Amino acid sequence: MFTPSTFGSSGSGFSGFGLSTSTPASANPMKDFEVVNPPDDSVQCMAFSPPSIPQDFLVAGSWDNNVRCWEVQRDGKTIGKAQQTMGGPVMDVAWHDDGSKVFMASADKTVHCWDLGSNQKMQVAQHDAPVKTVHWIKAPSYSCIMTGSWDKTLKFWDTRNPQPIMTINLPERCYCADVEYPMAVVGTANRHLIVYQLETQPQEFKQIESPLKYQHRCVAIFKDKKGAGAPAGFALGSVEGRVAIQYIVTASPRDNFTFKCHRSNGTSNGFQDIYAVNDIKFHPVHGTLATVGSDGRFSFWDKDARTKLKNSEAMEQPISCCAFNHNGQIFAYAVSYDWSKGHEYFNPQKKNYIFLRSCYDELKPRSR
Amino acid sequence: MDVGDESANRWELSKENIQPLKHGRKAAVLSVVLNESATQKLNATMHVFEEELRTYSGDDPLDVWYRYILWVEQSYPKGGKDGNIKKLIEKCLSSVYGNAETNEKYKNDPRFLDIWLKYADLCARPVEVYQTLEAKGICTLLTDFYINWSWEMEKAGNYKRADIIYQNGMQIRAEPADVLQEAHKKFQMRVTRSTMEGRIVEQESNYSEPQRTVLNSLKSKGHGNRVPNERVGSSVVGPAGRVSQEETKKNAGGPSFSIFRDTGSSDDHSRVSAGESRGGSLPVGAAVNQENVKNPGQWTKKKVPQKTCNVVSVDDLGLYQKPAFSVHADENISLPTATPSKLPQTSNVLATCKDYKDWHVEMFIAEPFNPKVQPQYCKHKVYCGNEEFSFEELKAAQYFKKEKEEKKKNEELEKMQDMLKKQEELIQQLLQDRLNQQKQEQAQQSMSRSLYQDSWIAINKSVNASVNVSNFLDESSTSNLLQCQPATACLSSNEASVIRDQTPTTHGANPTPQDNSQCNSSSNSRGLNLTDPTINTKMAVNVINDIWSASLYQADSQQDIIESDVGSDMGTQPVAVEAPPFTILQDEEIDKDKQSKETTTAAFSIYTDNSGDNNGTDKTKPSQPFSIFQDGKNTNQAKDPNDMYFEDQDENRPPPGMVQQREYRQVSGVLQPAADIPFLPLEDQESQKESEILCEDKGPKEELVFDDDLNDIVPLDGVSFADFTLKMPNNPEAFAKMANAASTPAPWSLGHVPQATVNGDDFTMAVMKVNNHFPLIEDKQKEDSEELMPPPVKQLPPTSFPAPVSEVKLSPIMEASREYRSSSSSSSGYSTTSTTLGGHSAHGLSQHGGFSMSTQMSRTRQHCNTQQECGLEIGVTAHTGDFTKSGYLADKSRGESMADSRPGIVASQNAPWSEEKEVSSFDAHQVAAMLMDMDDMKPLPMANSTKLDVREPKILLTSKENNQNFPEKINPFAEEIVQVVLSKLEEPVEARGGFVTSHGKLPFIKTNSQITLGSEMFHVRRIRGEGAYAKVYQASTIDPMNVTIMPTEEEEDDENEDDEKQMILKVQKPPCPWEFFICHELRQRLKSKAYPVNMLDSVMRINRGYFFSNGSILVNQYHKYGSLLDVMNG
Repeated sequence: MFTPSTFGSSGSGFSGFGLSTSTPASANPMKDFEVVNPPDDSVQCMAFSPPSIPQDFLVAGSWDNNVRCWEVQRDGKTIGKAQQTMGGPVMDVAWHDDGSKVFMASADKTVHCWDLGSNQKMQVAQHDAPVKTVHWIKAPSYSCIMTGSWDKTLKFWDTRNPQPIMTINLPERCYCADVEYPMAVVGTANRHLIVYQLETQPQEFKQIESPLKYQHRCVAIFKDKKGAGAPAGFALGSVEGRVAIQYIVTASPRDNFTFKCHRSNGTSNGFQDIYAVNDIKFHPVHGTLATVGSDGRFSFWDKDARTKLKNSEAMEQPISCCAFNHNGQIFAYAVSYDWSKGHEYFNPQKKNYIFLRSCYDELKPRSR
Repeated sequence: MDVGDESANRWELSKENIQPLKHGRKAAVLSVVLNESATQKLNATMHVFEEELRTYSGDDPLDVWYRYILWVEQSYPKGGKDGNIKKLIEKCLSSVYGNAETNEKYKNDPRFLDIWLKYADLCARPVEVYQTLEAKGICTLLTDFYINWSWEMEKAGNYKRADIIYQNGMQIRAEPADVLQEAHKKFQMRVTRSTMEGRIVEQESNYSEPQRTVLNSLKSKGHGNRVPNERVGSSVVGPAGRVSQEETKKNAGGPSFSIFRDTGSSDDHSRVSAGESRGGSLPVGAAVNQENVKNPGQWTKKKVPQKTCNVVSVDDLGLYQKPAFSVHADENISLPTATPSKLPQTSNVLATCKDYKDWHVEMFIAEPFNPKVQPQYCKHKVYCGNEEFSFEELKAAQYFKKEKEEKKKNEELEKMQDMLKKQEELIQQLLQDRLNQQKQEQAQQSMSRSLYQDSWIAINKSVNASVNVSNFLDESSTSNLLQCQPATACLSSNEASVIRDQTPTTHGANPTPQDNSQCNSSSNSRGLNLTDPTINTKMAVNVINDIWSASLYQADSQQDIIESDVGSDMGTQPVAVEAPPFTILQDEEIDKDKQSKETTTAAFSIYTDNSGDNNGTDKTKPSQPFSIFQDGKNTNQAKDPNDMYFEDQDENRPPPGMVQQREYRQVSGVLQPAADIPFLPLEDQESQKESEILCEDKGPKEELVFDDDLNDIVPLDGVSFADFTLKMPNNPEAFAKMANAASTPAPWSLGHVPQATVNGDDFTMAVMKVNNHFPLIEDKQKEDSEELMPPPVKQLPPTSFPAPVSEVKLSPIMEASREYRSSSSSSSGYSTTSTTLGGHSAHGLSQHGGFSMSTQMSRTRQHCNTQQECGLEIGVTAHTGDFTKSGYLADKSRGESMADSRPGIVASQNAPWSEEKEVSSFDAHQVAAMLMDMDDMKPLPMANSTKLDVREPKILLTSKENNQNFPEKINPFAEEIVQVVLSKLEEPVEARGGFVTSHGKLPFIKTNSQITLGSEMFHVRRIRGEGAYAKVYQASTIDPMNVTIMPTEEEEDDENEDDEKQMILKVQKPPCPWEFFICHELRQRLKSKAYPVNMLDSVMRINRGYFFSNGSILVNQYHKYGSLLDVMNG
């Protein structure tokens, strides 16, 4: 287990640690730990292993069709452990709750289960279009994976059965989803938002009018602080520099709000540049959130105080995704092209990085 | 059928949901789209388009847009939100216009304009769109722009403005100029016409006295809120719920200042456009009329603010000078309806509903435009069409596209390799097949020979045995053929049809099945004995097939029964017996052919030959073995025409596949000289016999069928002729006049046997009635072969002796009579228009009239003749009587004609030869002519006046004969008739000048592209017309070296070819050889008839016809004045 101090100290004394000397300072302005052997193409998704296993493993899926797995050590060192190749770009990864398997959703319209123990993969789901999201659902009565695809369906699969347990039609292509039992939220194209409740069996709970004006890009569920950690709402990231905090059940409509983020402040030419919010993750302990954007920055926010906790320096490239480990000690973010300006602007010369940051303290909410 | 019905139903049910399109909708698309289950498919297709929009990397981005828009237009017939075409078009326009590069590129692209025009159609005020376009200089060099704009003005009744728009277009030299001019002319025509008809009323009348209108709310006055007496004008508050335009106008009285108007407005516009063309925003989107849009609300509480300002009606907008500045309108101004403040409260009850149809969310909510904010992502791609795409989707689309391309490349490579391999294999196989084939053929020949020699006695004894043999041989031969060439894969079926084909023949010869075995076997044995040395296996097989099919044949139709009667009466047994010698000889000839070629196709043609010859040979009289050398068809005719008729009819029963074979036979017939001369002695002999037969037959036969009609049969006397003469005299003067008008040569007009033709008409009518007119035509065609070139030489004085008269070949008159018939039949559909005249030059108008008159002339001539030369008919009538008697006993009306012809029969017993001639002159040409004439005459109302005169006697005549209803029966557009006629031509269509058969499919024709047809290259310029079955393109020949448009037999009248090599391509699907044939035939006849030369000009000339498997292209001269029809309609 990490202790905050361990990781934190290693972070501060980073110069001595496993940072390849070839990495120029400009590529790592935040002076974080660099993951060795990063993917060759853009990193689309990352996930840390669940608390059920003692070590921290990080898996990342990329546009080079590969899913890589590293072991993250306490000192911030990473060791490449394994790799699997899919039939197409990897759109999402999810851990089995026992930490033995990883589910990989790919643009080849399939979802595969990667048994890390045997390093075998097997297909567990099939769609008619690329699969954008995959989540593991652990319910008392059942367990399954939920896959959302561009074929406008949401499907639930028992991994042992080639047929889905359940198929739910979506109004549009699934763009983003998050699961926090017993709640799931799905954001689709044309700004549809649907909340599902997963008890006994998945069921649509609510259609929600989007609080955003532009395309949904990412969604993350947050938990109620006071209660027993039940999901209370979600944060929704837009393609045009804005995040919305939305409660499922609100005492007053003012609880819901949106805030601007990932915008440049009229720097050089007097224009304000607006960037896409590529990923949102909530801190597992503090309930604060991190956003990463096309502008190559990550930001930490306290939604309850409605304040920004931290804003990073700009990376060389956009940050395409991020992840917290299970105890909130490590914040991982991937610096790679997010295709936000089209594939024409992809620069294969630029190296992709995954950085690890000791973040526990930085994400502590403001004391009121 | 079920599927078809279903789709028809669907279409029926949702008719009112389909928005009409200017250029129509495709029925096929509609039937698919209206299916409710198609939504998913549509969505998928739309997604594909959306993806293509975003991943397109070529240099023609508009192409995708254009295709997408066209697709949406067709696929979402209901309009509305589903297809969202308006938004799509707006997106397209602004994306193209917004990009300086594409804007420049597509500024005058017809597709771009087309999209604009579609947009204008969707807009409430299309005129505004056109004005903007002009101001921005978009598409101002395209003719369509002006035409549509002007049309919009014209619709609004603003003719002056419409005219000015046309003139502007011409001034600016919009392309294509001629189209614009044409449109302008038409416009002027419309205007003049409507002026003449008084439809254009001075516009002032609109603003006459104020009138009381219903449901107006009135101002109250005085104490008791009383409404004044005067209820118009100022006392009217306004119509309930809407603004009264008149009212405001009246109140306004114009501003107290005058607006300065620049007279040189067009200059001004151009200046404005020059300044604005860059950077100005387009008037797309609802933002344009934002302040003018009324939001729905409670109308009872609505107060209409009364402003006193000069209201300009939309239509007059164009009259006013646009200000030299443009009012800035934000693109991104959010729609008032965009954010509904309240959500429908969703509950768990609703949650079960998985249907999101009613969940409409704006794709994005545009924020007010902030010039200081720049989204740093590819917004234009994310929000491109009707869907939004995420970054990942965009990338994935590109990824898959790339993958696909690579796959394709690989596949192509593999394919190439496979092809190479296959080719090699094929070559080897072919070589081997050749060897095998040769071997097998040799083996077969020897085998068959032995078989025949050994087993013929046995065959004579039992037909079964022969059947077996034939089966065996058949199989072996077909299998052999199958091996030889893939092209003959269908040969077995063909063979089968041939066999079927032959059955009637043999049957006709051998009326009773019991007789068949004996007759055939004996005859065949003889023939085989003769031919043994040179016999070809296949021919032998054929002969056996004959036997086989004949013996197995079952008489199936009533006609056959009649026929069999006739046959038995005539003693067909000897005929059958005699048949073999011919077959044998034929076999020999064909053998040579076959051996020389040794191809299966040759074998194939031999079959058909054989069948045709069999017809002839079977029927030829026993006493003339030498007739072998004559044309088989001649011999046919020498025999009883009745027989022929039936045989032909039977022959034509087989499926359409047979037509092909027909043609082959025709070819062979052509190759053999039409031997009229050698016949003479033979005819004499025959005639005697025949006359005997006829005499014997006629009485009993008629009695058989016409028991009740017999009373009508009157011996030759004045009465029978009176029938004819009575009909004629109605309008002798008119006839004479017409004769003069047509300036037909005098001898011609004195044609002598028109009575016969009259009878012929009768006959055809009868046929039509009885047999649905197919057999009739066949019949004629069969006989036509003899009639190759009717020499109109022998013109006898009117009072000449009957027999020689009948000998005279009067086929032209016969034709005329056909035409006459046709005209009567066409009289019903007289006013309908035909497309055959499409390319005629305008000056053809009068000529054409002349032409149709000429056809009538011939008619009148006949009538005159009937009047004068009663005696002449004798022979002819005899023949026709014979004819009718034989075939159409069932017909009631025929009784009369029978009566007429009866005396003739008696008289003509000594002139059977002439009879035969007459028969022969009913030919395909005539039928064709009559059909054609129907076509041609319809569009000529001009001819009406002259026609009327003629028609009178005609009608009389027909009524006399109780045949009025027959003419309607021939439908010149019936495919079967066309097929039959074409297949029976003595000069097949394929052999006619300009006919080019091309294998493969119709090439895809696109405007502004080049196509190669045969040796000619065309530059297709534009589409000139479009119908259900054909499209007409204007094209120009490219290579002057290749412009040998018409083959050598070019007519002496030099149709001056247009210098510019302008051509018209008529692209027909499916192919329509009929049109080609008709035009060709008509011209040929006109030529041969020595009509005034210029008459030819009035007839469409098809320079070339290219015929593909699924379509045909007719090439003819472009006449810039359009068709006669245009002139008439104009």
